[in-house]
Order: sequence, then structure tokens, then C-alpha cells
Amino acid sequence: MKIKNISLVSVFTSLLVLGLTISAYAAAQSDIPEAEFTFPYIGNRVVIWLISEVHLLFGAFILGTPIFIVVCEYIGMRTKDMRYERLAKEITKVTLLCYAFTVLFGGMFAMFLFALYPKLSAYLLIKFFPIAVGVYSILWVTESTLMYLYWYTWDTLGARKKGLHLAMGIGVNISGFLTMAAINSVASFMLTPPKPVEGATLWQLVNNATWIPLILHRLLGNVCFGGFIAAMIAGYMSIISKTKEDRAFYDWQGFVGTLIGMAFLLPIPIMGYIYSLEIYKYGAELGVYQMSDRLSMFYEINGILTGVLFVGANYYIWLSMKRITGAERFKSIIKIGFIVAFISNAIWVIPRHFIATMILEPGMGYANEAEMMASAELPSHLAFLSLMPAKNIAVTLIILVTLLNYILYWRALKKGEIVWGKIDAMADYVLIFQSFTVIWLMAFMGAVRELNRKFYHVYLHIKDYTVDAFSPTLAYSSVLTTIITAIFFALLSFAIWLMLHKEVAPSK
Amino acid sequence: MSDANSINIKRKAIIAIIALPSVWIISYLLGFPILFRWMFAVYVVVIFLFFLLLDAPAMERRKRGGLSILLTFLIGSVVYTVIGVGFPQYDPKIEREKIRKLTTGRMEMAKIEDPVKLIEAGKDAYDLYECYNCHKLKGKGGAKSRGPELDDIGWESAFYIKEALLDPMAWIPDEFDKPKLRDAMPDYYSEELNEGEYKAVMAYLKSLRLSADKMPRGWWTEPRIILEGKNIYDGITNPSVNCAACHGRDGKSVMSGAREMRDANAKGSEKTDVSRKKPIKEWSDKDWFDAIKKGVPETAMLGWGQALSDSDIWKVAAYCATLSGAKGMTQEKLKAFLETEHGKLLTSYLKKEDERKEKVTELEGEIEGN
Ligand code: HEC
Ligand code: HEC
Repeated sequence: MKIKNISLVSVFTSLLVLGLTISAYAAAQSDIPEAEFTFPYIGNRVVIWLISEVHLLFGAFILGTPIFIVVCEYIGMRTKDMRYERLAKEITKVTLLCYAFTVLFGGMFAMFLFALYPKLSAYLLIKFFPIAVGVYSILWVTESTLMYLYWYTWDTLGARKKGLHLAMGIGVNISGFLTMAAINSVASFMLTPPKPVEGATLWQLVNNATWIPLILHRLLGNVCFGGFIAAMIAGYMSIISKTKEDRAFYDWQGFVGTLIGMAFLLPIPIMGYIYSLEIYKYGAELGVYQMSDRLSMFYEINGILTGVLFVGANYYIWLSMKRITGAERFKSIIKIGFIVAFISNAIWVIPRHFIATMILEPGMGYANEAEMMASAELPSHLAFLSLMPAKNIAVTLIILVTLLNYILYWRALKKGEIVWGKIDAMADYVLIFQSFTVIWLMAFMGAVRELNRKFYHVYLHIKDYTVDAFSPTLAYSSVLTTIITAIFFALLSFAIWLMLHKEVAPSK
Repeated sequence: MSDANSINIKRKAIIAIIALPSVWIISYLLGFPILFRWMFAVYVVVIFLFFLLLDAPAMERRKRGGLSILLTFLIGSVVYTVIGVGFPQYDPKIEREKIRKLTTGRMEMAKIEDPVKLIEAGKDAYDLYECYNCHKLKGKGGAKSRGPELDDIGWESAFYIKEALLDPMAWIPDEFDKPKLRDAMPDYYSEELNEGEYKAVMAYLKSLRLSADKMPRGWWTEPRIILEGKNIYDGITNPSVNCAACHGRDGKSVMSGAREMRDANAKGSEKTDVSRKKPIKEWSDKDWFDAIKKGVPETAMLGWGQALSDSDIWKVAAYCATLSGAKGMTQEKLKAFLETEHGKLLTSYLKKEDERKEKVTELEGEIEGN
């Protein structure tokens, strides 16, 4: 597909959505009844859940990768290492197609939201009209225009005035960041509207209790995402590569992507902690609902998957070291590190009790409290393992192990020699698996923020008593998350294949 | 497979076979319940498999990369979905039922007249609004660090409970006056509850009492309760109940024969019940209660059961006990407490009673509109 066509599709859809939004705004002025229509089989919520989450994942993609791209372009300019330039360009190509996907799903999201939840849409639209139409669309248009310009001037302007071209890339990122900040205002508002919400100024609506934490959390998340995606693209491309040169290049790309992904993964638990603290401060009952009640098991899975990411990244370093001459001497110390990482993760995951709620409910498999406590709850002398200090130590340990492994890697590099492209073929699949994990986790934990509101669209203001306002079970959410991730990956893989399959040289 | 490799695998398998029961037994001895032991066992198996992977010979490049990619996704999808399905769940029926209760159910609640049914409905509303997430009740839910235990809350005055529910910032118990906790109790129940739910929750909370014969939990040493007891004792709350008239303002008897309140070792009179002949410091909770409720026959000490509610009897008992220090709290300690920041807050809180009553009435008015 020609990039020109892609940009046309994006622009066209953007305009359509904008038009739709404005007409919806006009309609919203009159009193809108709740929708009578329910989606057959899956229900309205699932439709919105699916579309918005896929939109969000693409959104994260097109926000995260440009940061990664510009950093690479910059490093490439400074070091004159052409691999960075190639890396940046290839990923930009994929990003351009993902722009179109983002817009498409964004448009669908907006339409379905108006159709299925008109009352809520009208409420939000009226409250946030200047943001939704003015700021958001201006930023969005700026961002995508800059992005296409950035691409089109790469070989012309980029060759002569690298600095200017870079500045354009930074412009993409700034407008991307602001776009995200703008739309985050609505998302965070729904969970933590200012008190009281009547008479609050637009700025108070925007700058609500969790706006900044959400922005920071997503910003870090997106960069991390960008890194892992670059690594995944490297995995794909390495698999289809036919020459030594290409393989060497993608091997290297996988390493760089993972490094950046991991670097930004490290602060995310801390950021998440600050975010929850802010939620807790806003409404302790929300924090408790997340951490101890119906959403608590989501955090168990969060712990396990974060563990998978850490172990996966360290396994990748292990594979990377296997091809460095003379690195064998670090083998046993790295192995001990793995044991420490696993044990830390187990401590991280240990819950106070293995039931999905604060108190026992019917249908959980225990006849009474005593029976549950005997088999599923930590006795009081071990309860410390489920508390913050234990978790903090565990997280710190796992981070330290990762840092240590990177240090060992560099020490090995100093003495030995690395042959890019000779990595165990397993590494490609590790990269792909890692990005799958990141995305699954992101989609999954995004749901927690939404589910936290319980039976409200806007916490304590707009009630949601529709049939599917109940908090879905862990199983239900996991299955849906897997479906969402599959859709996203199918589209993303298509985008990568379409934009990049010609980049690998034919076999000699 | 090379020999070295198979020896390697055997060695790891042996380690795993030893580690598995060891971890199981050690965690058993440490007191981990079965599910936790299972979790550790799964970790051991995962570590074993992972170590096999670590030392596995390098993978060959595949011709059919696409299939392997699909397989990678498949593994991820299956593993994560299985984890999600395998972890403990709750019954979505219960969640759906909540929505019903919030719509039609709450209307039905408003119609309940029968007091027993009302209390049952109150339990329902209590669960519906997830009060158990912060409050421990009958050993279930909550945590000490999240909110007060409510087992004995029914002894508090109806007004106190109403205020705690509708205007929680009005009074923060001492141990909850901490940055993260003081505003933890949600302050929106006057907007969220409808009249039926409110009535039911109140009836439920009022019904919560641990024992008729025991001083409500914590009251012997709770300054707020003791000061309320003092007001009763001094005849301020109700002029026709004036213990001070005979026992003296500070417990220094002003009537001959009236019990000396300041001396924890003084024995009871001839006329009093046998169980109360012993020194005050040895009195049980029940002795205190009976002494005030039933009085001492044929003496000026009448039974106060008619004039005072059971709850007021406990309050005044808590105050009387401070005069001799029989139950831990003394006049000196109370004075020292009242000098502290929290003590001053308490004084001004108690002073503002009229204002607070007005506010609660206003908030109750809001509920009628919900
Ligand atoms: C997020 C935690 C939380 C939730 C949910 C919560 N409470 Fe509380 N509650 C507290 C805290 C903390 C206090 C102590 C501070 C205060 O009085 O404001 C408290 C105090 C109280 C008190 C006064 C107790 C005393 O001994 O002084 C009552 C009564 C009470 N809550 C009832 C309820 C009821 C009924 C619900 C549900 C409708 C509820 N609470 C929900 C945290 C919570
Ligand atoms: C009219 C005077 C009078 C008033 C008013 C009065 N008391 Fe007494 N009280 C007495 C006398 C006299 C005794 C001693 C009875 C005896 O001989 O055992 C006594 C005894 C007691 C005892 C000890 C009883 C025992 O079994 O040894 C307690 C406790 C007590 N009073 C508490 C109170 C309280 C609380 C009030 C206020 C609600 C109160 N009294 C009001 C006169 C009074």
C-alpha cells in the first residue's frame, strides 16, 4: 500500500469523526434518552470494550514508537551508526499504517459510544466540548500531519538538515503527548471527577485527581511499549531475513528495543503505585475495591506477568551472552539470579487470601469462613508476606537482578566479542513473546481502571444500571483480553508484513 | 540429543524431585495453607522447566517461521487465559444481583415495616455498599488499619451512628486520625442511599451488639464516652438524673452512706448484692451495670433502669470507674488527654452538638429526596 493512500484514509476518517462529533454535540443539547438497543450475544459493553481497547493499543503504539524513533534518529546522527537510521525509518513506516488503524478504531469507538451509550456520550461531550473538538482535533491533525511530513522529508530534508528533521520528529512527539493528555482528561475524569462536579471549571474537570498520574503512567507505558514493539518487529524480521547482514541488523534491533523496553518498565511499578495512591486518596473505597476486593486478583495476574517480562528479558540477555566469546564464566551467577528472580516473583504474587473478594461469597467453593481460612488464607504470622514492605523488597530484588545481568553483559562485551546475527534462533520468539506479554498486560490492566468505577459511568455521577454493568470475573476479562490482543496482533502483523517485507534482501 | 545434554537433564530432574517435596514440607511446617503450598510447587516446576530451557541446545533456524510465530502467540494466549480462568473467581450472578438491588430492590426495601426484616435488609445494604471492605464485622472483612470494627456499634446512640454514616468527618476516632485514614470513610452516603436503604442500614447497625453483659468494646477508656457519662452523672444531660447530688461532682460523696467512688478498695455496704460486696476494683462489667440499673434496695440508691437506657448506664459506669481508676482510665489521664490536640478537638466536637444535629437532619432530608 502506498503511504499516500494511507494518509488519505487517515485524514478522511479524522474529518468524518470530527463532523460526527460536532453533530452529536448539537444533538446532545436536547435531552437524550438511554439507548434501547442491546448488541446481540455479546452486549454493549463488550463491543465498546473491544473497540476502545484496540484503539488504545494502536494509540499507545503511535505514541510510543515516535519517541523511540526520534531517539534512534538522534543516536544515529551522533554516532554515525547507520543501523539506528535504518531502524528508525523502518519503524516509522509501520507506524504510519498504524496511524490509519488508530483513526479507524477511534472513529468506530466514537460512533459506537454515541449509539450504545448516548446519555453518557452527551454528558461527556457537553462537559468536554472544547477539549473533544477543539484541542483534540487540532492536536490530532497537527500530530498526523507532522508525522507524514516527517516521513516524506526523511530523505530530502533529513539528508541535508538533520537537525530540522529531528525537530519535526520532536514536534510529532510533543503533539502526540498533548493529544494523549487531552483525551486522558476524559478517561481520568470518569473515575475521579472533581468534587463537586457541578460548577467546576473546564480546567478543574481536566485537571482532576488522577489526570497527571494517568498521563505519567501512560507515557512511561507507551515508551516501554515502543521498545518492546521494536523488539518484536526485529523478531519478525529476523525470522524472515535471508542474509547474514539483515539478520545481524535485526538481532541488534531486538537488543536495543528490549533494552529500552526494560529501562522504561523499571519505573512503571513505582508509577503505578503513585497512581493507586492518588486513587486511594480520592476515594479510599476505590483503592480497596481494586486492591482487596473484586479487582484484587487482577493484581495477582499483573504480578505474574510482570514477572514473566522480567524473567523473559533476563533470559534474552542470557541468550545474548551465549554468543559472546568468553562469557561462560558468568553462567552460574546468572543462574543464581534467575532463582532469586523467581523467588522474588513468588513473594510479589503471594496474596493475603486466594479468594477473589474481601469476604467469602457463595459459590467460591468453601462452606464457611473457617474452611476458607484453613486452605486459602495466610495465617496471621505470615500475613506480612502480603503487605507492602515484602512486596517492595521483592520488586527491588527482581530489578537488581536485571540490572546486574545487564552489567554482566557489558563486562562480557568488554573482554569478548559479539557476533550480531548469531544469536540462538529462540531469541526471535522470545522477543515476540515479550511484546505479546506487554500488550496483553496493558490491555488487561487498562480494564482495571475502567472496572474500578463499578456501576457508574462517571463515578458517583452517572449511574450505569444496564445489564452489563456488573464487574466481570477474572476469567471473563482474561478471555476478552486475549481476544483483544489477538485482534491487535493480527492487524499489527499485517501492518509489519505489508510495510516491511520488502526491506529484507533476497538470499544470495 | 547429546549425552552431555541428557545427563544435564537428569541432574536437573533429580534436583527438582528433591526440591518439590522439600518446598512442600518446609512451607507446611512454616504454616502455609494448602493453596499456597500448591503455588510454591507450581513455581518449583516452572523453575525446573525454565532451567531446562536455559541449557537447551541452541534452536535451529526454521524454514516455516510463520507457523512458529503463530505458535508463540498461541502459547501466550493459552497460558494467560488459563491463568485468568484458573485464579479464584466470584460468581457473576452476585454482581448482577447487585444491579437489581440498586434498581428495583431498593424500592422494595423502602416498604419493609417488620423490624426483623428491616435488620436483614440492612445487612443486605451493608454488603451492597461494600462496607465490609473497610470494617471488620463478626470476624469478616476489613482490617484494623482500614476502619473501626463495628461489632459493638449498636451501643452508640442513634445520632452518633447517623452522623458517622452521613457526615463522617464530624468525628474521627483517635486511632483513625491519620493522614491516609481520616477521610477514608466515604462521605457520599447521603447522596447514594435511598430512604429504605438508610433506614435498613441504621436498623442493622443499631442491632449490632456483642453482649448485653459486657461494657461495649473500648468504652472503659474512651474519652468521648467517658465525657458523655460525666454529663449524665452531673445531671447535665437530664436534670432528673443527677448522680452528683449524692455522690458528689468528683466522686467525693456528699451524702452519708452513698458509695465512695474514689476509692477502688472500698468495700460494699451490708445491703448491696453479695457479688458487689467486694472492692470496686474487683467488679466485673456486669456488677457495674447491675449496680446502676438495679440500685441497692432499701437505700437511697434507686435503680436507674427506668431513667437511663442500657447504653447510658454503660456510659455513666465508664465515667464512675475513672473516679477510682478501677478500669484503667483515671481522672489524671483524662485531663492529660484533654490537653492534647485530639482532646481539644473532642471538647469542641461535644460542644457543637446542636449544630451537628442540625447538619445530620439536613443530610437526612437529602436522603428523602434520593
Ligand atoms: C473505604 C473504607 C470505608 C468504607 C467503604 C466504609 N467505611 Fe465506615 N469508616 C471508615 C473509617 C476509616 C472510619 C473511621 C473514621 C471516621 O469515623 O470517619 C469509619 C467509621 C465508621 C463508623 C463509625 C465507627 C466508630 O466506631 O466511630 C461507622 C458507623 C461506619 N464507618 C459505618 C460504615 C458503613 C455503614 C459503611 C457502608 C455503607 C461504611 N462505613 C463504609 C472507613 C470506611
Ligand atoms: C439520692 C442519692 C443518690 C443518687 C442520686 C445516686 N446514688 Fe448511687 N448510691 C447512693 C447510696 C446511698 C449508695 C449506697 C448504697 C448502699 O448502701 O449500698 C449508692 C451506691 C452506688 C453505687 C454502688 C452500689 C453498690 O452495689 O455498692 C454505685 C455504683 C452508684 N451508687 C452509682 C450511682 C450512679 C451512676 C448514679 C446516677 C445515675 C447514682 N448512684 C445516683 C445514693 C445515690
